Amino acid sequence: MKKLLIATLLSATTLMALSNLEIAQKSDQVTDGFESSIAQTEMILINASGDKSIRKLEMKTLEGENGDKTISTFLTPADVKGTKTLTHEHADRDDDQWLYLPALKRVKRIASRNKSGSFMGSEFSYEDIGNQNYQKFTYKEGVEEVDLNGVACYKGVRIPKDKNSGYTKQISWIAKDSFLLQKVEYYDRKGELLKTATFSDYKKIDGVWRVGRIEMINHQNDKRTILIWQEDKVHAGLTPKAFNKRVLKQ
Amino acid sequence: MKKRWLLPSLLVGTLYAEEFSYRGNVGIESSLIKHDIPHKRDHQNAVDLSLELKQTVDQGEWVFNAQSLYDFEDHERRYINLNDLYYKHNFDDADLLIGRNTRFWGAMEFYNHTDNFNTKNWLDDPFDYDSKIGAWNIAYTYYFDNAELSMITKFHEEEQRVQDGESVDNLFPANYETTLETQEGRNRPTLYLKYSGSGEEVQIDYALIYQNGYDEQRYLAPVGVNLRQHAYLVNKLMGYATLIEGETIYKTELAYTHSEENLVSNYTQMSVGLEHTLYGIMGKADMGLLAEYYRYTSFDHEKLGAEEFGNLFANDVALGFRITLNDGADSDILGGVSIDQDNQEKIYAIEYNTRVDNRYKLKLSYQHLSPEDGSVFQELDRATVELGYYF
Repeated sequence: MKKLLIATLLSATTLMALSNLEIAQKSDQVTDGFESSIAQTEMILINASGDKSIRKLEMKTLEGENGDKTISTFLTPADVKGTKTLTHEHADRDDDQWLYLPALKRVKRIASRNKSGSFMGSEFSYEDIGNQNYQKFTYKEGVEEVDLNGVACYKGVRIPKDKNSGYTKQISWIAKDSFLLQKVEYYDRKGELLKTATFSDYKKIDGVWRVGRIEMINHQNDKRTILIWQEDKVHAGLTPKAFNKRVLKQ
Repeated sequence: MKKRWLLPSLLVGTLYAEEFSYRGNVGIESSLIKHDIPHKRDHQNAVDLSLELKQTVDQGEWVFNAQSLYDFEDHERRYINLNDLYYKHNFDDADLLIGRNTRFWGAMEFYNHTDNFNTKNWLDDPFDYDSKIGAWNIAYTYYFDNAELSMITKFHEEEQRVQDGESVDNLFPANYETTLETQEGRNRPTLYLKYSGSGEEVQIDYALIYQNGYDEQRYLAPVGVNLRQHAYLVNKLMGYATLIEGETIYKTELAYTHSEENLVSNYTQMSVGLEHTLYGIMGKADMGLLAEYYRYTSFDHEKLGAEEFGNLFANDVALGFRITLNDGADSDILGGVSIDQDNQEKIYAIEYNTRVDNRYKLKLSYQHLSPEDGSVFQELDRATVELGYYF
């Protein structure tokens, strides 16, 4: 009887233990389903001396099976006000990306293969800002259960599938109870720790968990960037037409 | 409500129905110019203001955009240009624009053969081809999923004023007079039919344009003792495309022009180029490398061609770079050289742009002209500082 009980307990524990992939899948699920969103964001760039520069962006996103569509409009600084970027993500090929320069009234297609370039001069790269779908990574076996500032987390290693990624690996901390991403460490192509992102101020909006603040610290240049969502609307009713090239000139 | 208040109320109601936005800048520019050209200034100082107002209404938008400049010495460079004044009404799959505006057509970086909707503003930097004069037009555009079809009618030809005789940027003869002569009147419409689209599987953007009406380039001919610009009629077919493969952008522009004016030869224009970006050089900085080639070919050498029109991109190679520092001030460094393949005349330019204190933009630039025999230029060096306050 004792043997049977131990065997049953062991079996249940094995069944209940989640793999790294399953945790990532669940983490994705809790933030998916917003359909479309409109967010007002503030990006604070802080250099090694502590000097700050602030830029504001409106970001509209449409969830898609094959990749999201996003249009970002620069609201400040004043000299780039009205500049827009439109991105159509694709799971199976390079993203389509256009830039609209209002002073020239020019829509310019831009290269998107390299994901490691800086987004707006910040410590975020284009791949940090883009969709973080769990299918973009492979997952190493072995999940640690750790405490992160009082939050019980799953800690696991994920490897970007994109060969043009700027990272060789990422270590993620995902809250055990909510499956919300808490922290990610990014390792560069030499395998050295490059950046750490801390995710906080989560809010549940219309049934979808949305992050409110991300702080990205670059350990190699001592700069950091804080991205804050000041307003965030999900199920915003946006259609694919709102992500046509036409809207760049509007 | 009394009837006399109804219309103003409706107008005010429309104007304030949705969102109002503005942007612009006020700035100073100062140049020091080293040259040996007699009776020309060795400096240029001016203040400028540009202002754009936009009012979105229920299904459309009103746009006003003006640029003004006040030169401290050159009286000709004191102007207010109305670049945009239009209403655009948005339908589900189309829009209708009525008024005055500027447009950009093309793919290349240094110069665009196909960017010929507006005329150039010669009161500004002669090498800044993005400085244009607005044009009155009506345009209807229909949008498909990945393409658009525009029918545009421009119904007035703009005159081109030039800087005064003491300015090194005045490349026109001394007896040039602003009055524009035209083949069939200044209000003869110029029609454009433009189809543009994007590839679905391949990263390509393309456009095809048919034009019937006045050409953008004009020839100079005497009227009395003065020289005036003459606008002549053409049938033109143009196309341009941008293709991305990896981190390289390939570009081309092509145009064939059939002149309806006996004095002017039919001609073709062609340009090809590429831009390759290197990421993460010197830390976060990116560097774009550009190479472009331009060709203007006349069919009848007895008639007016590239040389008579003063077209600088008749047989030219342009090489350049753009370093984006990706810092908090969005600083970048642009540099390049344009080389005339016929006589090895060269124009060098380098500029540095940065933001200061979040509201100001600083631009430092240097330009060197190295002319050869028969050039419209003389050798000169120019260093310019521009500081603008943006709002």
